Amino acid sequence: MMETVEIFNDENRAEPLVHITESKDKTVIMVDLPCVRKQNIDLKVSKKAVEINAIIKNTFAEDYFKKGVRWTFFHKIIDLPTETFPEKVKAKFEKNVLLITIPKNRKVKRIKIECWE
Amino acid sequence: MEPSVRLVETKNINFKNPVVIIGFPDVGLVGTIVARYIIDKLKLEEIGHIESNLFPPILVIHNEKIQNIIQINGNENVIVFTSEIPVPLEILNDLTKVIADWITSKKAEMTFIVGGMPNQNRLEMKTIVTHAIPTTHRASAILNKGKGQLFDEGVIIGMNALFLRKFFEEKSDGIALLADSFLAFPDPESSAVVIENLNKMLGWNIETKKLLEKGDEIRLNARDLMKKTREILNKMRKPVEDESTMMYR
Repeated sequence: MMETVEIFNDENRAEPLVHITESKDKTVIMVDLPCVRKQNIDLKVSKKAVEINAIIKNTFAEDYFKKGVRWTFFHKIIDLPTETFPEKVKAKFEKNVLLITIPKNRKVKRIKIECWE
Repeated sequence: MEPSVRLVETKNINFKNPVVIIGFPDVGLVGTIVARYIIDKLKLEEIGHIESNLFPPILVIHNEKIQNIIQINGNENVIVFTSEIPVPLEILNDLTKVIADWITSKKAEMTFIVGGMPNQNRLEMKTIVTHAIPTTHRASAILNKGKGQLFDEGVIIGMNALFLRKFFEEKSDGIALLADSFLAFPDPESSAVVIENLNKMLGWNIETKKLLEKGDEIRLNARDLMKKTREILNKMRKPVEDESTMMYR
């Protein structure tokens, strides 16, 4: 369960970095989620999109890439290039990278081409 | 024709065959993270910068001070080049030439070009390998002190390639140290591996524990720079891919 704190303010929303690779059968999405705990990730998958929400556990007064913004959560909606079966999607979280493997729904229907009379 | 960039020295330093580190935004931002960490740990002051009319309209402010876009930090023994933004494609050739010529004029002991090398299995990797490319026999000898693995075949794209070619053509001592890295995410862990290698080769003792501890923090705050760097990398990659297609047709 995600913590229900009032942190989902648009000003504090950070967009995570995403890397998408595709093969014939699947789409693999890698999402960089630093400062996030596994239990604070909410992943939703529909046939056509993936939605990620994750609470950032802490923010810092940074030495090397200092910014004036305090981020409290990540949010990202990714439209899928091909429809999928949401129940077959797999996800794992390692080194603060969320790896989502999405099988492609390659079910096709042959269409009969009719002739003009 | 006038070069599109100009190197400005702001401090008069009596260099003693310095070691030079070049770390610009690249794959996994490894070059940038390494350069900034070394600047911080060795407390290297800004001693110069690069000026160009072709820089984008951007102003970077750090600790309430306006920053030069491409900075040179150093002392009499160490010089570090780094940039606040990905280097615009338009100035790559001139910038490489101006920096390389300046390094030669300062009689540098050795130049290290540090960065990342994209590895699609990076997430599963237990050991991060540093791929090394020396430009001279002398550089090869120094390389043996580290744990780098010689890069034996492949293509290097971008600024690192330009520096290596320039050093190779002019028989200047240079070594590229490119650690396995995420392509699209900042990679402090790979950066720490590069620093460990520099420690071995140069007899330095820069601890990397703090860098690893701050890894998440760096990843969180360097997202914008990573995103912009990736856009530039994609532009660089395109002509090379087109050319490869022609070559193997």
